[in-house]
Amino acid sequence: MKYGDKIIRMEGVIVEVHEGAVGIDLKGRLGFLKIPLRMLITDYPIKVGQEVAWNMSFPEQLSPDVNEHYVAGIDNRRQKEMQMSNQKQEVE
Amino acid sequence: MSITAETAQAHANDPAVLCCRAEAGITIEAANLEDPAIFDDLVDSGLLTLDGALTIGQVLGAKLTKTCDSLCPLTADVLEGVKEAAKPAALESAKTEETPAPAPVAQVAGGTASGVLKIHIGEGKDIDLEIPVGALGGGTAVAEIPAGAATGVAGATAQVPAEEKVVRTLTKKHFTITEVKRGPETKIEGTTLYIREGIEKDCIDNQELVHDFKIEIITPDLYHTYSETVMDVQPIATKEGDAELGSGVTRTLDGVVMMLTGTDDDGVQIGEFGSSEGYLDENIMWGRPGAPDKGEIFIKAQATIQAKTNMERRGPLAAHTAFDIVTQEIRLALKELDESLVTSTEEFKQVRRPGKKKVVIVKEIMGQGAMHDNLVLPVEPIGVLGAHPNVDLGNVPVVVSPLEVLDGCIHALTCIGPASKEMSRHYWREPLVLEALHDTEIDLCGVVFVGSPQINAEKFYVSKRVGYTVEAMDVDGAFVTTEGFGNNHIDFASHIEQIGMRGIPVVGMSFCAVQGALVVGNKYMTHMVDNNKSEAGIENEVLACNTLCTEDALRAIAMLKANMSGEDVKAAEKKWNPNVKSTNLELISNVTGEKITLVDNEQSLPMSKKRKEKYS
Amino acid sequence: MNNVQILLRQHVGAPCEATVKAGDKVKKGTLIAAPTGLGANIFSSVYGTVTEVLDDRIVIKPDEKQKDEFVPIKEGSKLEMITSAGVVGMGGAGFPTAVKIKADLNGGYVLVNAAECEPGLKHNIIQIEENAEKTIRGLKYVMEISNAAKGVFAIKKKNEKAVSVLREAIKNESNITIHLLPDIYPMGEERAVVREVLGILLDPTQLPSAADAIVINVETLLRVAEAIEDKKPCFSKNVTVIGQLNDSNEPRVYMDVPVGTSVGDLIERAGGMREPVGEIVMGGPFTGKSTTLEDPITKTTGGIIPTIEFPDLHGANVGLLVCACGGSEDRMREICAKMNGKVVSVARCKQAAEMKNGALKCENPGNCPGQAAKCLQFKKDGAEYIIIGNCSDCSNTVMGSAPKMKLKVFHMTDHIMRTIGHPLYRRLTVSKQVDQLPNGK
Repeated sequence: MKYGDKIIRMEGVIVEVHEGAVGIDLKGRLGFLKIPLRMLITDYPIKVGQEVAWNMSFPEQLSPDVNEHYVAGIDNRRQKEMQMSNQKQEVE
Repeated sequence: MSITAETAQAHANDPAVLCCRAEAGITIEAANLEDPAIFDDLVDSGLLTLDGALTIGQVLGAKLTKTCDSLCPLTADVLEGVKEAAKPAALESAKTEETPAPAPVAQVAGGTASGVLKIHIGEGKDIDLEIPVGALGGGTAVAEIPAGAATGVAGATAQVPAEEKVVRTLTKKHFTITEVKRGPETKIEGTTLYIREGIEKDCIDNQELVHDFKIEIITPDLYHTYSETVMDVQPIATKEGDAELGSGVTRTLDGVVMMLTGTDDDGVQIGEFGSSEGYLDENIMWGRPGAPDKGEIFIKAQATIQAKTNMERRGPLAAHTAFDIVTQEIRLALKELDESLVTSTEEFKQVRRPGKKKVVIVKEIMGQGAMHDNLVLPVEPIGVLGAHPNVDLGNVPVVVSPLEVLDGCIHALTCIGPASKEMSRHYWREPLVLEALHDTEIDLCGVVFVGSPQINAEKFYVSKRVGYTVEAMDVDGAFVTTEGFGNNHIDFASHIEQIGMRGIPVVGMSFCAVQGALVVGNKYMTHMVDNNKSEAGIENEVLACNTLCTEDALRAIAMLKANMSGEDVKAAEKKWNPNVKSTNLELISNVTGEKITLVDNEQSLPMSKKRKEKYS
Repeated sequence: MNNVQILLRQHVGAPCEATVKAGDKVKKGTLIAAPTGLGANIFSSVYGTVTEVLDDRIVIKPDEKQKDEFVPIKEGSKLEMITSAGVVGMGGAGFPTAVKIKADLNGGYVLVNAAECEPGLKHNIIQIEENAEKTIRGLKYVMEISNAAKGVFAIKKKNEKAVSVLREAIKNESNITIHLLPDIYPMGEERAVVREVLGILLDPTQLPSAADAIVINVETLLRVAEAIEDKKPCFSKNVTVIGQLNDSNEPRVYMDVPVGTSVGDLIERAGGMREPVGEIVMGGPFTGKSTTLEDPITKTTGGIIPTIEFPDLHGANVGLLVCACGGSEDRMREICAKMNGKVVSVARCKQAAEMKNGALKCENPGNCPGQAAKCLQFKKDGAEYIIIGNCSDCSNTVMGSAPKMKLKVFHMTDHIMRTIGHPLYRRLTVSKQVDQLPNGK
């Protein structure tokens, strides 16, 4: 990574609380992050609306190539989601 | 920052660097010297070069001949009266210099060991592993010491050793399966296992949240099959008669494992973070304690649960419960099998060794909620019935016998990350428990499972209980293991602190390497074993790759023995260096005379495109 | 003349209780408040009328005409007269002097603190230059009362004139000597004086009496002599005014400023402030606090310093290195706020030990324990600038690492040092060792 040592403080707001994960909106409309609970350090019970902060850097592309494995995974997931929703509609 | 005389003593062989400006004519004392603990950071920041620096031991008491500023390494040209030095100071000296004592047996009974690599965890941000450099584990070696010989270490060991005592035994009768088919009923005929057609419907009906359930039989020729995220790998086993878990006879099937996968109605992976779904043969680290072995047939279920419950506790639990309906039918069939079909029998003895160093294994299991949960102590091995989720138990420590562990007392609702999580099968073949149980130099008194809650206050609540539990056991040493990485490292560190502050030597085991660097540290975290196997030191998405293996157990045991016998421990480098591990294993092997074969890592698997790109 | 405000607490201990009420006529030297516990008498510093007695102060409207005469204190033993006169430590601590010197030093030392360590202040040195004889008599009284065999003036070598005056004055005093100090902050710290002169390093919790010594400020000696010889109550203070002043930034020393005079009055007397002013500091650059024109001078006020404006950091991230030698964390935060910085990290010097009352004391004043680890902390916490409150030696150490880590360093005294044309506290260029006079004479 070229800029891996450029560490910046990010802040966000917890917008989703699941039993195994939290969703965090990055302040400044900079994105959304969903992480497993175990990656969140908590001193208090987790609630929607709590602010969180962490250090991060900028994601950098590793290469111009596309990883077919992941593409397959993503396609597969989309297809499945499509099928599922079709099935649901049929039932209804 | 300036150091005390004691710190100077402890770091006598580290480079001597002035912490502050010092004027010509002064005599160098500890207070003039910077703490070696921060050197790595200073070197990284370009603040310090240690070229030519003398050691702390050399410079103490010497006279400074030239006024020097802060962070000036002390070299021979600015000092008078430097002591003769044994070794040049260089950070690198820590990693390889130590060699095993030629005849460690002559020193002590109990855990004999030469030097150990120590990793200093300053403030816990850069974690390093600590690994024994020349620990000794060979039972034969110790036998050379006449009973009753005076020893420098454990007074108790010097006494005539008490008789070994077998507390209880567990027999595993193995039946072999060579073929798995579907049929009108679930039964085992010879080495063929039939699974009832239509059992899927029972699974769906049993659990409201399970909307679909598919079973696939994966034979070795089908390993290159796409699969959803592997949620768990389980052995098939059942108790004979009224035997309780951890004693009596357990029947188990060889050649076949249960494998649970699944998504929710919307196609979202259960517990999905990242892409651990994919072709089975590219995503499984064969032969890990928790993973399938190559050649085994998988009874692979794919559960589809109600949309959006993948992130809730009830979703994964429903999938596991439904899956156990299949396993339970096989268990019932297994109970009926004729004794003549037993292909091998294993006997596990829970042996107590009075007079030997008493140790306990503390295993941290996840308890943050949802699929970060484990069912503790089911009636059947890896069953569901009768078990209590450790989250419901409040994650407090639960003491079990080593045989209960090996008999499947943990049904793991495994989640991320695939490479470092311990599957249900892991406990069934837990290497540290096995090695500790078989090591004749130590007395394994029990295994403590403790959950890892989400909130820090609860983490400290349970770790204090661990402290008191271990205190009450009056042990001489303890292992603390954890699985995965993240906020569980906070309680992992706290467990070690709670045990360490009671004066009990403790060795910690975790996946750390690069990606899993500990988030916290404390002064008791001096003996650490890294479970990493991956080439790059990361969570490589390959099932069970970075879990605790025999080679890790051996290092941990050697290190704890060294620690218990008061051996000094050397610091390892700041940055993760996999060579430390191989060097240490080689040293252990040199002493024990037994070759330790390292397990493979992901490099042995067919190269999936993703790894090809990642590692090339 | 404007109203005089006399604070009821000008010393270590509990506030005094007023013994006058509104409307009372008072003279210079009239007792107007007496201690309720540990404390010292407080006197009117002017002729006038009490206009208000508030919780924390007594306000007096001075008469148009002021005489030099004052109401003398009662005759008594030397110690009694010091007690009656309400003398307190004039160096800034304000410990009641009679309590301090009522000790048996077993033939030990009275160490005279003439270090005048806060840069910019000059009134102690001027006092020695102009009034050495009376100061030395004060020393002898204190030595007599406290059963000390030796008296030592601890003074910085750079004050050549004052040193030569002192040498002359003690030429024939067999038991009084001079110990020269290097020009390093904080040589005037009580335990630093003990260490430098006697070679004994006290714990932060120990008093100099643990080394059979007391440390007493040079102006305090003068007030002791005044109490005993002139029966003069303690109601005036020597003060240095320096900084953003109309005429020049040179120090003005005012002897015997009536306690209760407002900061504004004193600055007017010095020619008025030159705008723009960043803040007005009462006390020294290191340990002083910001004040206002309305605040009054007390028995412990040493300096009044209007400063230039603060630099603007435009909300940049700042780390604070709090030290016993400089301002408290609150003061450091105040300075950071005035510089428009955002505090992202606070560290305390390793040697800054917290006392029971929350104050910090340095374990080994002026000898650095190393600061590299603190700088690493600041860097880690994302600071761009750091503000330090360290002594000369520690500041030097910070400069050894912070700039290389690309941390820009400010010292909390920078705005004052720039104002008075004193070098900034950064690199240390002078030695901590100085050659002593032969036999201390």
